[in-house]
Amino acid sequence: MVLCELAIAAISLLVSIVFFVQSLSLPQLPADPGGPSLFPRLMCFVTGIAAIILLVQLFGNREKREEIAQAFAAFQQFGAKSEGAELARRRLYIIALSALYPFFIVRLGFLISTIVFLFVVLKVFKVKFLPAAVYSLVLGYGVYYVFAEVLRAYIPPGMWLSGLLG
Amino acid sequence: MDTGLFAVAFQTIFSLQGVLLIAGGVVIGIIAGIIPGLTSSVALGLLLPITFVLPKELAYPMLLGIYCGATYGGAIPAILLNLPGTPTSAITAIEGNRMTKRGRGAEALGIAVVGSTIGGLFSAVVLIFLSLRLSRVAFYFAGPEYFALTFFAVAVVIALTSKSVVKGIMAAGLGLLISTIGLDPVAPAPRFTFGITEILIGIPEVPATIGLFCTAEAFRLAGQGQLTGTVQRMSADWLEAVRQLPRKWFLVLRSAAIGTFIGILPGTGATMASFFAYGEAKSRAKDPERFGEGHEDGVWASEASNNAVTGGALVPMLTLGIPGDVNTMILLGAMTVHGLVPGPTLFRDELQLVYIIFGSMIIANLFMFAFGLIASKYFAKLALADLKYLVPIILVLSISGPAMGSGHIYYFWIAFIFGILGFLLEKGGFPVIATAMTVMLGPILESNLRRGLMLSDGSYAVFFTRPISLVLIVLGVLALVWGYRHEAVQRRKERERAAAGGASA
Repeated sequence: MVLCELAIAAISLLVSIVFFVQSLSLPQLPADPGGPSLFPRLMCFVTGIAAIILLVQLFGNREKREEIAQAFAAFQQFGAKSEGAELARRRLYIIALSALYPFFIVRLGFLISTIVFLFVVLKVFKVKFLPAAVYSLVLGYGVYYVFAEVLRAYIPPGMWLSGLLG
Repeated sequence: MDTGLFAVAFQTIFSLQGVLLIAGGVVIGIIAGIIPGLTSSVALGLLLPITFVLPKELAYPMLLGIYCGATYGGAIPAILLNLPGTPTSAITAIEGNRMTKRGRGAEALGIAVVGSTIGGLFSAVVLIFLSLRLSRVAFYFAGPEYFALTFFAVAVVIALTSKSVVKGIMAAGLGLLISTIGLDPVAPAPRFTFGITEILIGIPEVPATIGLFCTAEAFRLAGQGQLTGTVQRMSADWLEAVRQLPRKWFLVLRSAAIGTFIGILPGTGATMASFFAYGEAKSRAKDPERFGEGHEDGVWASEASNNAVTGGALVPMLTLGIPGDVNTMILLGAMTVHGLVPGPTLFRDELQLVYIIFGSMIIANLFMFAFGLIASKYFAKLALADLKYLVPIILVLSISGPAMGSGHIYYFWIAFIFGILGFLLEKGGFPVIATAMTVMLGPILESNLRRGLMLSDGSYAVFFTRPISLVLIVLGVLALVWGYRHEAVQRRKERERAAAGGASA
């Protein structure tokens, strides 16, 4: 997908530039001829050049430019009722929920966040209320049990809940 | 080879816990292989945190069971539904499903399970003999040799796993830059942390790898339509496969050898092995025109070679700390968590564990044969597992598993961020394995580059005057040149095809 190519090229170029600028403030050590900045600068150079070459290939080629324009146009059709647009929306909602999941684990605790996360994702998949509720309760508690009782792992209790309960 | 150590290893493997874990691992692996989207690497990544509480002597049998089982498991939906459960079974789908349509499905399943077992056992034997010898050679490696070896590994990954060398270099370069975050490996000063204290120790490999492969896979499945179809339930006709062996033994052994060799090459993997072995089988067949119409040789070649990768990929992982494929990359992460350092010191300080790994590979393949015979009858329906119920649990386990297993809360964010990165890389046609591997190998590459320079008072000639280092660097450069030429040839063929298509229109 051409937008993803563009995104990775842009991210790579940006990371290369930022890391290179940061490397200018790294110390040099007499006993270490390479120093902490040698390897990062080499990689910034290699990655940055590769990113520029790819960007030139993308924007310098007429077919690729048309593909990019079409991809942006398709993006604007995001709200359309076609199956493709619906699957794309579903994916975006799930990615957004996945970003919120860790945020709420820390604040509401693992058990509640996991059950709610599972339930909301199932509703995004248009699963009916009862099966979604049963699945999220059973699996959510199951995963919690494995982590808490079997692995004896540290389970975040949730800052908000701890504060509420004192 | 020490038979005494083998005896102790088998005692551990055949303890009640050992048998349950290895058998359980094989069954989980077969099921993971059957369900599209749940590849061996996803299953390994999701279950890795559970092994943190197991002693290392029991963690590895279970992980290797999953590895072997999943590599075979993908053949079942490939043969019955033309739906490879894992990318490694794509070739099996071509021939195996045609055989099913001609009423020879049970035979194809039998060939898959017997071929996979022979391939896996062959590579386990090679693993035992080759790794014991290679570990002694590795004692002579110093900074320049390790740098050259890692450079060679990265170059091979770029050349063989990417359709575009530029994209391969970018993916690898991004991974290498990410690997520089945290404390400098030589002089412990922080680099590129931007004031975030959690990443002072660097980007942790386990959640990063799980994010790149497991979380990203869940994001990919989230936008996929549901697969439909009907599944025939049948057992594998392994007796028919055994009857064919006297005629097919050379094909099977050749395919196993191809798979083992490709497994040893860094970053390649079972998919490439099955393509190469299939190509060889077709070019040497007396009836090549039957390929594509349900030729049993295609199934023999594909399955023997893809399972042979399992042992081969462990050779560089155990002896040199270089992962042979995505699965061994995750197994390497497990080593780090258990405080193990792969390489010659592993063979010196943890030789008993090494023999447990050897023994586990043999037993896992035998369990795979036993469970594989009935898996197609009882588990085939899982190939049409509902994505609605699969995606949420993959997300929960991949995002929270590494954090819970290790006790570091910020691992949630690492898994999520690398999940986004892995999804974008895969969609954009970049080799995700190049990024994953370089995140892991970056510190080795950098620290040995600098050690080499310290050895030579700053002269780069040290990398070219030591013979092993020189040979590996030259091979790495040749791999990149080959990759570039291969890409140019493919582009020219595409242009010719487009021109021919335009002319005929």
